Amino acid sequence: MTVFSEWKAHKRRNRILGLALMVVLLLMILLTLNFGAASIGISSIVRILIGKICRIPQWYADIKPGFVSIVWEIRLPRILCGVLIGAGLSVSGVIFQALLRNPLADPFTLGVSTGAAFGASLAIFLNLTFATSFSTTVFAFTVAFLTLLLVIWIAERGGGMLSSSLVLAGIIVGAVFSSAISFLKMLAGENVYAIVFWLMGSLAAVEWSDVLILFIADVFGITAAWYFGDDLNLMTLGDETAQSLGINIKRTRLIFLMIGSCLTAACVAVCGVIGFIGLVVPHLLRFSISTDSRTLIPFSVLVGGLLLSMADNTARLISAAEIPVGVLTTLIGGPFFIWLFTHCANRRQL
Amino acid sequence: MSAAMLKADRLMYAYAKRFAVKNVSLALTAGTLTSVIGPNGSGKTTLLRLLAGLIQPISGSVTLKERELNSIPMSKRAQIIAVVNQNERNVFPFSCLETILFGLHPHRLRFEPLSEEQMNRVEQTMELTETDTLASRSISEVSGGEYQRVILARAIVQQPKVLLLDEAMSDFDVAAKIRISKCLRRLAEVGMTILSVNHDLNLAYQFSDHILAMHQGELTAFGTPNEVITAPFLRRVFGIEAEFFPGKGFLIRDEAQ
Repeated sequence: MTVFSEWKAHKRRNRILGLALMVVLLLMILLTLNFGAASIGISSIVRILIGKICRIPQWYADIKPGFVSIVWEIRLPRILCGVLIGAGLSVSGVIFQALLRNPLADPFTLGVSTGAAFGASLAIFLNLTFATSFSTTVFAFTVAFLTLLLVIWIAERGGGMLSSSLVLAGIIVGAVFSSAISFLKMLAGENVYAIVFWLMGSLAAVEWSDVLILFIADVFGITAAWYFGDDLNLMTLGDETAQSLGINIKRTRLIFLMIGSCLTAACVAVCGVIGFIGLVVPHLLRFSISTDSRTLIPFSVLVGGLLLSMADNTARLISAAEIPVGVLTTLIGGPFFIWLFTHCANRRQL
Repeated sequence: MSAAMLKADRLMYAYAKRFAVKNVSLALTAGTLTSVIGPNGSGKTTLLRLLAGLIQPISGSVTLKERELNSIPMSKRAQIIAVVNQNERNVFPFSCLETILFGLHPHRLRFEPLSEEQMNRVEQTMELTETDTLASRSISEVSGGEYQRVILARAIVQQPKVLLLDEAMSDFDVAAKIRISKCLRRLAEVGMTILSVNHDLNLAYQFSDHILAMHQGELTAFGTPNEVITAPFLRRVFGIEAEFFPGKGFLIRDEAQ
């Protein structure tokens, strides 16, 4: 089994690496719960977590109620949202890159996220946010879904849902929504600040209900993507080859468009536009770990979650005036991507 | 004579308003190697795609072992027909081994681990196609000829009854062309039906059971290499002059005036 020995060793290595990353992620969550203006201490945090999860208030009875709510109501939902959004955007990046057969595609390529952003901006514009924070989410989701249908419809008319026509349709629809957002901003007057800040992408105002939305979207989307991972691999070979290997390309494309868009919409709906995670994470992992979707997807969850959550912690700690994490990921991600591009291009990897 | 494995009946196909395949009927016997020859744009690739069921004819039909091709679902079809498409490229860095393993997809359930038998088959095929040394190399980094070898290996691993090759050896060096042609011959001898679009007339002449010649979308000749490849044929279809050495082959000399 000479040709398989290296392949098997690679698989074993990845399994160990995956477990190690999982431990790192859990540790990071625990450690970053301790970061912030109020110094609470790891032992108190562990007690709060156990007490809250197991519903035994005695565990944290002697800790200041203020600290309990800082950990449980503010920091934990925020950290979990960071992890879930990082995971969701990364997996959605994996999906769109493979589906569009383009290593430079990301969750934003098809315009779905711009659609979601428009939906949320519209909600803010209509002052619906005063009623409940849920309405931004509903608007974002609805418009994102309609955008996907529109993109598919345009691509279908323009050349039968080929990846090139999907990208083109996505760019056009994205551009229209982008202008529509600018138009809303212009009309917004006093509300413009809320829209602009929301669009920058921030996790500052997340709650447990946001965690729940993201959790449902992630569990459903990521599991489905992983389940159909083999088909996604074959889609990278092009329509005709995929078809000759037994893939129903139309159905598979539709399934993945739905999964990818659902993940993206959930992330954008909760926290606004956060760039580069969905592009850089899958890209980085394809060359360092594996490009096989069955491996790439779990790794994207871990590394995406880790990176975005770390970026958000940096964003909230770096200065008194909190930087929106979307700005930070793009500020760091951009130069990093340039580095990656120039280095990998030399080795014909891009 | 055994029954036809793959049959086409009056196939028609057009791109926009131009007919690419006109009224083509043919029958391929199981266990034969047939080469499709013809000038550029004569409809060879379109014919192959029609036979693979990748595109639907305007009229006419394709039958696989007496069964209408369209009535066989994609997943089942992939267990019977394997295709090597022209110009396939993957921008993602799958390893060559992973790419070859894709050939097992039609025969595996989701999450089903590789069996010993499958691993053996893959290993043998890789030796046969000289891809065993490429196993861990990234498919986005190998040369054109190496890439073709990998996707040919993938198609063989698919264990098809019908193997359709579209210029699958165009980037091979001359020695590799001969070695792989011999290997295809052996596969035909054990029962595989192979149809290979080939621009190398000498190779087609030497290794095929039958030659299928396309010209301006029509099937212009079908028969044994000696029946089809003749001086008048080469003059008429390709516009070239050739000198024939009976039993050995031919030498292309110059363009016809």
